[in-house]
Amino acid sequence: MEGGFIPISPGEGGKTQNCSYKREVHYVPHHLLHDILLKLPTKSLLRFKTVSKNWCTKISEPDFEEFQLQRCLSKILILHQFPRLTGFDSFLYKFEDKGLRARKFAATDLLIGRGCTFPATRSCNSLILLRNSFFVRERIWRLHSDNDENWRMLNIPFPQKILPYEAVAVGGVLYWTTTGFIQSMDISREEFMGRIEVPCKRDEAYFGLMEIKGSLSLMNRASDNKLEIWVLKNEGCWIKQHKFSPSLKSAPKSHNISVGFCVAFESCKGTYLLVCYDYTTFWYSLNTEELTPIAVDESQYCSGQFCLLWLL
Amino acid sequence: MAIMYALKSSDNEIFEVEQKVIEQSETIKKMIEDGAATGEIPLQVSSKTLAKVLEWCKQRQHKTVENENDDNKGKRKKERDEDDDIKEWENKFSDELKADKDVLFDLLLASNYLDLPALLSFLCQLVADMVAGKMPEEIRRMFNIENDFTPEEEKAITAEHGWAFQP
Repeated sequence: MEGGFIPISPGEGGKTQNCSYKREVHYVPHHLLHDILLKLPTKSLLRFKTVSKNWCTKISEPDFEEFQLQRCLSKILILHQFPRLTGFDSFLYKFEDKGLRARKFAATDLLIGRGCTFPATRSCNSLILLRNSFFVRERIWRLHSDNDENWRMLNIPFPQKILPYEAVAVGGVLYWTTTGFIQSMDISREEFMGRIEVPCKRDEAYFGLMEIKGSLSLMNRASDNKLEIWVLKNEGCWIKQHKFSPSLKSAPKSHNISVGFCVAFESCKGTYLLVCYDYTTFWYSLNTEELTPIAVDESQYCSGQFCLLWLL
Repeated sequence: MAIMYALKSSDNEIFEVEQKVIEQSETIKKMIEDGAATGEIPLQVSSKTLAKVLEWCKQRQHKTVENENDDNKGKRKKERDEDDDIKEWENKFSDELKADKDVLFDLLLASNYLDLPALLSFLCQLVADMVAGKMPEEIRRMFNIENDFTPEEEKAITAEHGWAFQP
């Protein structure tokens, strides 16, 4: 029976080996298996394609892939900050309508006081924010668990030029961009690690760190209308893997890079990027190279100075 | 006075349950509506598993009744406290199930048979959390699935999604 099981009766084979084996065997009906698979992270699903032909077929079905993609989308929030005299108003947006629309659903008082950018990432059961301001040196804030309300501050032991930056956690290491470099920190040990050179020119307007298929990746603005994706390979070299041109409503006059943010996520349909770039928000599929604009339900959204994407 | 129903487990144990509690099961609700639920209701569920099912239903019922009686004043704070209580209860419930996987999978089948969508979704998540991150071989052993791929086919899939097989 496909995907199910054949119960091993206690007497079968009469081998003692089977006894301990039997205790582990469980039966799950087909439609429940579907529900369980939908709740699994993408990485596990791709792995489980090799369990059996039946599992592989189930995971590769177009309907399943579409459901799974929707589930991935439902886990993404956009945090948008709108500047006020006294600081920022912050709002959270989430996706609906198959990811074609972002709707404001909550104001948040999560972010504290005056600051510039707050890239956030989630790793090792903690939530990490990077914060800089023109008055204080940059800081890393760490929240240990979801229930914890006390942000703990980690000082960065070397002075750095203030820049709007992006942060991402890949394999227990936090990476964030500074001028010309990527800095890294071991999250569990809270130890600062080395610098990584970036593949593009130092003063070029690069932005956007992401995790693509388990590797640190970077989105770079090669020119006003051209974005590039670089992936850091195990050997420590950067490989340019993708290049695309978002058709922008209006070409940006200034090189204000603070408006660009991106996040990557894996689904059974392949890798997707969600990009906020020059007041436009869109999806980009690395597999099909399809670009889908997202409608945002708020005129204010476009005038906001910072928007960033937050993968839960 | 609350209407009571008697449920009979597959090993002939009788459970007396309030209608409101057991009506969460769409299967039993339909039996009641059709007038088919007279006397003892025989179920293809063991007493051990049925006890667990009822534990869940009572907890859910408890929550619904409390919410109906609330007025808006202080509701938010109360809701937050209740959410904490429910979370704590659910954690305990899932810890017990994780410790005894036979009960977990029996309960999964029972909640499917009794049509309890909330419990079913809760259990599916629990199983998903249990299998997430495991290697294919462990999954095959757990569900007694035969690997029907040729080594070449398996290799091809592994190569295609190489990153997913990294620890």
